[in-house]
Amino acid sequence: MKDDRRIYEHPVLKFERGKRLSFYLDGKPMEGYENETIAAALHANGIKTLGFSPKLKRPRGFFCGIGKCSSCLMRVDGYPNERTCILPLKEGMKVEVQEGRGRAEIRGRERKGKVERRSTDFLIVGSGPAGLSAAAEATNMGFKTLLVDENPSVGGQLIKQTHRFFGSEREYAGTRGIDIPARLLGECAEKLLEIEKQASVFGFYPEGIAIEKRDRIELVEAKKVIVTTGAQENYLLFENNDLPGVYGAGGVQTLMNVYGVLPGKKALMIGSGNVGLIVAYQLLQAGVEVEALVEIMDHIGGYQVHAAKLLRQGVPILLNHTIIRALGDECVEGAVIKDIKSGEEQTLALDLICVAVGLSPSIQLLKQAGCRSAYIPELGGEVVLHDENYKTDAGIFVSGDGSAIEEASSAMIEGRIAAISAALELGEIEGAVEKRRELREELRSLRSCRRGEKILKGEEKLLEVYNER
Amino acid sequence: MSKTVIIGGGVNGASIAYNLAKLGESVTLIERGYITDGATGKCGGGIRTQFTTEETCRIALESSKLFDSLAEELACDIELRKGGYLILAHSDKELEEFKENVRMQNSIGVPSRILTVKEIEAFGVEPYDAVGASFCKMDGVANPFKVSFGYRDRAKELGADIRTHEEVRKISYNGGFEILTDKNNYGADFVVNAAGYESKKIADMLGVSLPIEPYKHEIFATEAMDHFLDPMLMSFSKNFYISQTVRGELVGGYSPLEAEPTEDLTPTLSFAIRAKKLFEEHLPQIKSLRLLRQWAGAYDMTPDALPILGPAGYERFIQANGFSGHGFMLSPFVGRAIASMITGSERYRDLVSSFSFERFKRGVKREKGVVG
Ligand SMILES: Cc1cc2nc3c(=O)[nH]c(=O)nc-3n(C[C@H](O)[C@H](O)[C@H](O)COP(=O)(O)OP(=O)(O)OC[C@H]3O[C@@H](n4cnc5c(N)ncnc54)[C@H](O)[C@@H]3O)c2cc1C
Ligand SMILES: Cc1cc2nc3c(=O)[nH]c(=O)nc-3n(C[C@H](O)[C@H](O)[C@H](O)COP(=O)(O)OP(=O)(O)OC[C@H]3O[C@@H](n4cnc5c(N)ncnc54)[C@H](O)[C@@H]3O)c2cc1C
Repeated sequence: MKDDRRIYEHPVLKFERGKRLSFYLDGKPMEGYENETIAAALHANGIKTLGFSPKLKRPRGFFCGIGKCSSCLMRVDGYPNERTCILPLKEGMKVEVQEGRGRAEIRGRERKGKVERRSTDFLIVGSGPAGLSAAAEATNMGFKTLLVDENPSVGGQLIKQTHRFFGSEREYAGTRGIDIPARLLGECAEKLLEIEKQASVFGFYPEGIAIEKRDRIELVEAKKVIVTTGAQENYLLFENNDLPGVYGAGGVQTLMNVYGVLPGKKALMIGSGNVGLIVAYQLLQAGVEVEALVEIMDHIGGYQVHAAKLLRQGVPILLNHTIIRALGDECVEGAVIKDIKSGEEQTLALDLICVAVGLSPSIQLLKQAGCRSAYIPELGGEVVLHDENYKTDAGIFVSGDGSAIEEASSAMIEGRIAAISAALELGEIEGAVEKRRELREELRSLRSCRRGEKILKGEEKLLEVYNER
Repeated sequence: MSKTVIIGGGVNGASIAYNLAKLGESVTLIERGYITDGATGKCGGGIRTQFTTEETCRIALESSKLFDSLAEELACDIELRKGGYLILAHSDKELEEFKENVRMQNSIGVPSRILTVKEIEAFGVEPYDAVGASFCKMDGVANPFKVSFGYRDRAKELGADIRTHEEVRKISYNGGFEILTDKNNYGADFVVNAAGYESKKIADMLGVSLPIEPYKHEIFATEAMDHFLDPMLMSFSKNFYISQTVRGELVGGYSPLEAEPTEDLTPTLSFAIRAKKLFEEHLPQIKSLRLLRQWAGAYDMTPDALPILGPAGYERFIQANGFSGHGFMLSPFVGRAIASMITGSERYRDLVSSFSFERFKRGVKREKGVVG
């Protein structure tokens, strides 16, 4: 019997799959679709083990779904260590489960010998809500803008968020996350915007800013740079946490909401922040049973409305509870959870453990560029220092989750403030200073709720360290 | 107060601290950043005995032997792998020089030999333009971090006072040394200057002028692969070296032959691209590998590219610097030799005599095999 894990009916999403493709896993023919990543296609075919670790030969599977964690490395068409969670499937591809590190072979990746150069007014790294908003401002002020993202689609985290957003109307509250990228793109002055997908910005060099594409390297000369690289998911320590079937909440969202593939049949969600609550609800929408949501604190971390939706569906939210062990040999078959107050343990039979224990800003690129950073827990951990215009001391601008873990609405406003501030360094612009003042006001009102307090405190700390020198 | 204060927590400072503590000496090590913050944390981890001058060969041989038992001595895995150094000769003239070197090396007990083009191929290396090579199976690679941390940990256990994140700002001499840092004041009978390329600045504090200049060297590491390359591959005339670590990464560096001294250690993209091209000629596998990291460090160069070991200006102001590209491989020897010098032992006197500060007054000629 064929193990088909694709989602065909969904209350919100319609999956328009591309052309049917055939490919091979270790010589065995399989089917997938155009515009699907290799990892998604394999998951749809019921394949969870993608490789084995070099030393202990532990099975390795999918985890982050955005090319950041290296858990999904496989051999593709003879090349080892390919990130299959972001590599699109092609007709006839030969995919192999990778045991260990992989062989180095005498054959070349096809790269053009020459490094190509290009120049632009604005370079924006990352096309999430922050990057897209910055691009909208920059192009509307008349600047040529290059927007670069290493994922196959534009929108960052938004491309998998099926729920309607909160916040103010100007930041598209009431709109579903998945619909926001198109709206923001629509705001851009099209003629001035160039978009590069599947392209990673990997370094600030004396020679220029380097971008890696599948077949070549490009060096960009830019008058202003805004880095909006978003965040990566935190991991949690528990026994067997590396088993295939233990996935990040973002990765789970990508599988089911972007590619229409079921991440599992029965799930345990860890963490009651907004991400945990929302993704648990999305799992239900996709037809996955959610056995429980565990939260180690004595209260729910996210918004009450999101929690209420889960409770109404009969999902138990277990406070003062954590996971202590995943069960299974090849992949997850169960989980042991524990009441940290009474010490009582409970075994659940399930095939998906979803980790939603927070995010950390992706600041690697900015650190490479020489930005100072500091540990500010209120902002999500190690963050780069910047002034009130989101300018770092390397002269590069930053905004969105890459500067502090918050939300899409604030990311959009920050992206705009950063773009206006960068533009003002290039000359006077009519109405810009006034617009920036309004945006600051908006950000303040957005943060006037309980959750905003934490960010405000973090920002205050950050400015203090920034001004220390 | 310790009898000896060591300035600099690279592999040499750490080795000296360990060796002094092992002899029961009181010692304080002061490092501005963390242990391995200087050249040590940037280095390629190569260990070789094939040098062109006899004096250097002798201390390198002594050091290479010490590496063989170092893991046991420091009770830690130092990721030592002795797959040999294979040094390519790109012209008949160069090969003739290598033959002479090998004769000299053999005469003092270094088991090096000349390889034919066929023999180079047998190592899985593409000869490309090479006409031969010299090879020594005693050579290899180890992990500079693990070696340094091993020295540090054992030194601490033996009572050494290891201070990090503390910078030496000023030194004065008045019968004994007084060392002023940004945090403390120390007195000492002996000061060891193991501050890497910044050793010159340390000596300046005492009015001693060391002929040391910093030269930038860039280096990269690829993704980790199954083991396929045994020897450290090196070329003097192309100025490169590359090896595979126990962890599977290929670590390689290349430097333009004509460079000016600088403290600007910014990595460049052009290095990464040129180095990869250069290595592809001899290791075509490199074509399909990703470079994961690149960085740069400084060689502390003296006029003859050989280290300064021993006093300078003051009888008890001991230098352990000027290592150019070889300070890691020499560190087990340097630790022993400097510790023995401070405790008044004669054991290593002859071996280190060629590396005195005084030699620069007589005039020197340059060691040819500098890279790696
Ligand atoms: C489940 C869930 C629900 C949420 N719900 C809400 C909500 O209801 N309301 C709300 O306001 N917010 C919500 N958020 C938060 C919101 O999605 C994020 O705060 C927002 O997406 C951050 O935007 P960003 O532009 O900073 O980064 P991201 O959206 O993370 O985008 C960053 C982009 O940068 C790219 N990138 C990174 N590094 C590089 C590089 N070196 N080169 C090229 N590209 C690179 C990445 O591929 C990515 O596409 C939710 C988040 C989650 C996970
Ligand atoms: C790219 C590269 C590749 C190399 N490859 C090899 C190789 O393959 N094999 C090999 O043997 N060698 C190699 N070398 C050389 C080797 O790294 C060095 O010779 C060696 O690490 C020097 O060690 P050290 O302890 O003498 O100095 P360092 O490691 O430079 O340590 C000096 C320390 O002094 C500290 N310091 C400086 N000033 C002060 C102050 N005022 N107060 C307190 N502390 C101070 C610094 O922070 C630093 O940590 C390489 C070097 C480079 C740059």
